[in-house]
Amino acid sequence: MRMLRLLRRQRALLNCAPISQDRLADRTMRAAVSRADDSDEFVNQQSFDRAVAALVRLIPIPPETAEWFSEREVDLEKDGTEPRRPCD
Amino acid sequence: MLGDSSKAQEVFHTTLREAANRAAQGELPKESFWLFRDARWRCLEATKTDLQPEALKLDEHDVTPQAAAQIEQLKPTQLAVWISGAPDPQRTALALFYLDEFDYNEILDLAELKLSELSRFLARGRRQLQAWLDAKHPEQGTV
Repeated sequence: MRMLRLLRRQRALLNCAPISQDRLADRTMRAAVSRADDSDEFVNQQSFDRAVAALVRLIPIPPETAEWFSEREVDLEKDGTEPRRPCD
Repeated sequence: MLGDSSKAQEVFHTTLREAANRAAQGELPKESFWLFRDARWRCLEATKTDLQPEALKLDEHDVTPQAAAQIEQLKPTQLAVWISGAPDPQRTALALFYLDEFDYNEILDLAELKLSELSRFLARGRRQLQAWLDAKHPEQGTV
C-alpha cells in the first residue's frame, strides 16, 4: 500500500517536472527526475514541455505593457534568454 | 490566461495600479506572489461574463517524439488561445507552468492546488494538446 502511494507520488512529481533544470526545486523532485531521466516517456514529455515554453516566450507583449518593463528585460525576452512573469 | 491581449493589458494595468495604491498606504501584503495571485483572480473575473468553455470530453493522445516539431508549426497566439480555452483551474495550471518562471511548489501555492491536481491538469493538458496537434498536422503525428 505504502509502495503504491510512493509510486503515485513519484508519477505526480514527474508530471510537474520543471522545464528548466535550475528549477529542480527540492530533493524529492530531483530524485524523481533522476530515476526517470532515461525513460522514453519522460524524454518525450520534457521535449514537449520545452517546445511549448519556447512558443509561450514568443507570445507578443503589447507595447503599452512592454513599456512597464526595462528595455533590457524586453530585449532579453526577445532573445529567449530570460523568462518573464506577465499575466497574459 | 485570457487569450486576448487587450483584456490582459487591462488586467495588468489594474493590478499594478492597485498595487501602487496599496504601497502608497503601506498595505502591501507580506506573502510572496500576492501580485500574481491578484492578477490571476482579476483574469478569472475578466472572463466571468465571457462564453465559458463547454465541459466537453476532448480527445487525448500520448505525447510523441514528434510533438516538438508539431509545436514549432504553431503560431504563439494559437497556443495562447488554446490555453485560454481550457477550463479553470487547468488553464491556470497550464499558464503558470509553461511560463517556466515558477517551480511546482510555487504553482501549487499560487493556484491553490494539490500536487495530485496539478499533476492531473498538466498530464491531461499535454495529452489534449497532442491530440489537437495530431488533428492539425496529421502528417507529422505518425512519422
